[in-house]
Amino acid sequence: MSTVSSEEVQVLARLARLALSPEQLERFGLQLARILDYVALLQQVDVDDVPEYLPPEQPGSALRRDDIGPILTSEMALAAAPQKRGRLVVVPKFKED
Amino acid sequence: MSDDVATLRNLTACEIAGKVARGECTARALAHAYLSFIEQSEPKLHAYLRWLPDSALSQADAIDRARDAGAPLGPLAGVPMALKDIFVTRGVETTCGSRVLSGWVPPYQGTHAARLEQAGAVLLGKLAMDEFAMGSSNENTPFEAVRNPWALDHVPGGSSGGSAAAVAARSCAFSLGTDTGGSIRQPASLCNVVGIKPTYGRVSRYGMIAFASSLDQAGPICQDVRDAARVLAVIAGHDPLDATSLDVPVPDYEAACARGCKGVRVGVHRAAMDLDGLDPEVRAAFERSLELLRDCGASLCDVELPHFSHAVATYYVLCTAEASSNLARYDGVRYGLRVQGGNLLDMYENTRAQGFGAEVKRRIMLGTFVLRKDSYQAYYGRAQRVRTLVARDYEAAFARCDVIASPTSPVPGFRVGERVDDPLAMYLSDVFTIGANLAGLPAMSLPGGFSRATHTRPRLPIGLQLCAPRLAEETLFAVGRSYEAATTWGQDIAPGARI
Repeated sequence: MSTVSSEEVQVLARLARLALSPEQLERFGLQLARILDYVALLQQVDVDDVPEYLPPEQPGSALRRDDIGPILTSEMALAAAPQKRGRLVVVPKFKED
Repeated sequence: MSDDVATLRNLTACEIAGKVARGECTARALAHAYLSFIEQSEPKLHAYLRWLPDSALSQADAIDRARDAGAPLGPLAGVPMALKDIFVTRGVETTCGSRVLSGWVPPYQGTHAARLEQAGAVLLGKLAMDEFAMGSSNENTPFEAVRNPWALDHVPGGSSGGSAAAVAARSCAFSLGTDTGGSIRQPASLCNVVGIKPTYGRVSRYGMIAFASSLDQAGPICQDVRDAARVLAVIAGHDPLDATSLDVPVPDYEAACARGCKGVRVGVHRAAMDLDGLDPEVRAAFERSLELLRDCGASLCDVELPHFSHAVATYYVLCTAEASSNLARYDGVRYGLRVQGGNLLDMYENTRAQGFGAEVKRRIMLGTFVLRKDSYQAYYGRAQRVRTLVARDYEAAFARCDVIASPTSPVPGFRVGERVDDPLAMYLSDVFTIGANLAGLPAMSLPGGFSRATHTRPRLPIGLQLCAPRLAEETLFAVGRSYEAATTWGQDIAPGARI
């Protein structure tokens, strides 16, 4: 049975931008370990010389004519922003002066 | 409730469209009948996240006016339907079953809602689902869990559980669901309705909130096969707004329903019948279904799917990887929930911690793990290679047969709360459905019988799954309709339709 320590789960949580409580870190650690044990099944498959999956039909180039079409106005596009100032979205400070 | 209203709710989508076109009933009367039942049943069923009486009645009135004026009507004119809340609807709150999107009112219309509106269908409301379509029971939700109309203490399946339950309870004439690993077919199976996951690319994904983009596909959940054919024909076809939508003509699916299944070769992967956890009643119903298919003129043959037992593991590596990437956009900045923090990073982490439920977090974490530089080759890269092998297995099998039959779900259904603490056991309930997603193939679930009522379990529906080669949806409709016509269980109405 593999284990995923709380520290490792903490690293994943940070990468995934999720704030987790110590209880959640422990529970997710146990559940992830169990799922990873199951997924280890894939290590038994011989995949030498097998390419990664690609759908049979690859999407073609989707260039459109350069015409003006229906657009969202900035009011519409910003209507759902949780915090606005004029036509700008407000976010907490992320850079030192 | 008057007989008239109950009668209207027993009509199929095709019957409704016929009656409206002939002036035998109005779209308003239909919408009213369904809306009244929704009001009455929802406190027990919880299939809807919201319903829209005003806009539904005004859409219905527009259909009635068009008919009175002699204007041409669409193939679904006046048919009351509902959409899984994963489908973007302009001006109507769309949450994808998540707190992180609560209150989000889209400024644009998705292709599905647009095409159904164009065909004359009347949108009754938005249906409940597992959060971000992650789940097989509808219990992954910050809202009320949907109940199965066949037994209210049982789950309806997932993730399109609201879509399947609403059709089974006749609180809409048909619905749309989405299917990433079985999310149309498994709830259709648990609720005794018809659900089809089309070929990847057959239906646009524009306006369908992304979970795992290489696997996600939208499709109808209906009362019968002919309804499914009509609805799929409306939503299928190339969409310039989705680069993965296939630019190939849409065949006449309704005509395919009349083809019968004489001479069709039905493949059976016998080894899958020895699966641990396959309910004996599901197995017995499946064997009976094979006999019926043979009686309808099909021939049976054995096929091998050598990587069948690797499909679930492959799927849970790939879908979580894609989900962790797709769900990175929910950061509290431009739309949806924002939970404040001292700096930008804290705001992201707090927003996502409070906005997402446990299953979504679990999958994002697993996806983050398999995409890390150190684990990428061992997990994601390897799973992509196994996916190639799974797709090749199907290709080889279809050299010997026209359609592959299996149970849809290994169990007939389970009680609310029974599996919530065991994510892996829940994942394994997708064992028969996942292959079609990995290989991009069309597959349909049909009512395939019932389990017997015992002192531990009520009488519950069992689904039959048919899977066909790429773009061979017509074969599914031909075989499915032929099988349906030879059985009676699809016509059984759930007790939940009479709440």
